[in-house]
Formats: sequence, C-alpha cells, structure tokens
Amino acid sequence: MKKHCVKFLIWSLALFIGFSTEVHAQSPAVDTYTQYKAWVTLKVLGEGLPPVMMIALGTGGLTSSNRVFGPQLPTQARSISQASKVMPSNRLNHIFGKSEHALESLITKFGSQEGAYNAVQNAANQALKTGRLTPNAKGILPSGDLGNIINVGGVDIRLIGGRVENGQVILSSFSRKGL
Amino acid sequence: MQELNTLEFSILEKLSVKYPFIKEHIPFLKVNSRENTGAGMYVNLIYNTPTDKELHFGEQNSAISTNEIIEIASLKYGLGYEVDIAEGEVKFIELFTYGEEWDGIIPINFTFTP
Repeated sequence: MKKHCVKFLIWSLALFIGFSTEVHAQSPAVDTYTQYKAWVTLKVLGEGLPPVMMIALGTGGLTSSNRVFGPQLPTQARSISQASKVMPSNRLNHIFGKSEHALESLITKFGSQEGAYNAVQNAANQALKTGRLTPNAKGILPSGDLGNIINVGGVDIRLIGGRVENGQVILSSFSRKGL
Repeated sequence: MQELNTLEFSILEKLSVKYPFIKEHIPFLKVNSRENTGAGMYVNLIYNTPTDKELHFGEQNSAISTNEIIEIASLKYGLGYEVDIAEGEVKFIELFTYGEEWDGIIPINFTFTP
C-alpha cells in the first residue's frame, strides 16, 4: 500500500505537468508531439498502479474520453502522414531503386536521393511555369519517348509521366535513360 | 518464371501497333519478377526463345509508351506505363501512379484511355 501511495504522489506531480502542457497547448508554440510523449510516459510508468488510480490520472480509463493526452494521438499521426506526403519514401524507392534509370550522377550532384528528388521537383515546376512541359487536357504529362526532358543543375532528366495540379507538378517517375 | 498477365499482355499488344517489332517478341516473353514499389510496379521480363529463332529488333535503347492511362477502380488517376528496351530486347514494364499510393493489385477489369 505504501508503495502505491508513493507512486500516486509521483503521478500527481506528473499529472500536474501534463495538465500544464495541455493548457499551454493552446499556444502554437507547444506541439502535439510534446503532449504525445508526455502521454506515452504516463502510460508506461502507470503499469502496476491500481486501475482506479490510472483512471484518475487519465491514462488507463476504459474510454478515450478518460485520457488526458490520449486524444492527441490521432493529431500526431496526421502530422506524420503530412510529413511523409512531402517526401514520399515509396516514390523515392520507385525512382531511385531502379538502376536502369541511371540516376547515380544526379544523386552525387545533390548529395542524396532526397536532394536529387527536390531538385527535379523544383526544375519541373519551373519548366511548367515557363511553358516547357506538355501536359494534356487532363494535366497528365507524357512518358516514353515523348517524356519531357528538363535540365536539373546541368543534368538532363526525362520525366516519366507526372500530373499537374494547382500549378505544381506531381512527379511520377524520372530517368536518365532515353534522352 | 511466370506468364504475362492480362494487363502486361495488353500493354505489349498496344505498343506493337506503334512499334511492330514487339509483336514478334511477345510469344517468347515471360515474367522474371514483379516489384511492387507502392508508387508503381516493375515487371521484369525474360526471354524464353528457342535457339533456332532469331528475333528482329527495332529500337535499340529507349523507353516507349502509347501514353494511354490504365484506369482501375482503386486509383483515382489510374496508372501510366512505359516499356524499357535495351540492346533491342524488351527488358521491363514500368507502371507508375500519378501521385497516389498503390497496393500493386491488378484487377481483372481495367481500361485504356487516351
């Protein structure tokens, strides 16, 4: 019992910190990830406490409405999803994982696959603005021997497909073969 | 080594209209592997040609496409494709999405649209 009381005191302090974080979360300066970490810490340390104490602390209730930080998790998940949308790993693997695309020189020039991808993205957007791309009526860019060739920092790249949306190019794939 | 599926066969058939040399290659093409990337797929091809058969080559090193879109139910914008030719041989088909994630499942029903 004494052990539980000590734990409860520690948890009261943690709960106070947690509430403070949540209150400050109204300010844009505190991100949801900080709250999520606090919630995970509470959850992990809460193992061994009687269920009634865990519910009181908001970490072990039967429903998400009992949790202090639990509801922040989906927001965090959305943030991760948005981040991966910016640099889609599947797309990188698709483009750079095929050696026949012969993109080694581009990666070397820009330091990484991500750097090379961003450089092509920027060059494609610039080419679109200056009318050097040929999307069809649906905004679809050509592939094969009709693929648009753009210059990316001195390296010619052939765009494989792609789509124009809101004045930006959504890259499908690209290669140095077929230039 | 697997047989070409309906989509792969259709792609090569479509291309053979514009690039007639491919027509002669189709009966001898098999699938060595399929790589689903989540953003598309690579269908790596291999020849199963009888030793006494000599194929004629058109393109030597290029990438060719009819620039049609393959419409399937799971993708809003469909799939694009091109076929890689190296040293006169059909090496692989590259399928790619237009920004969407794809599970790589090719349905029975698909259509080609310009």
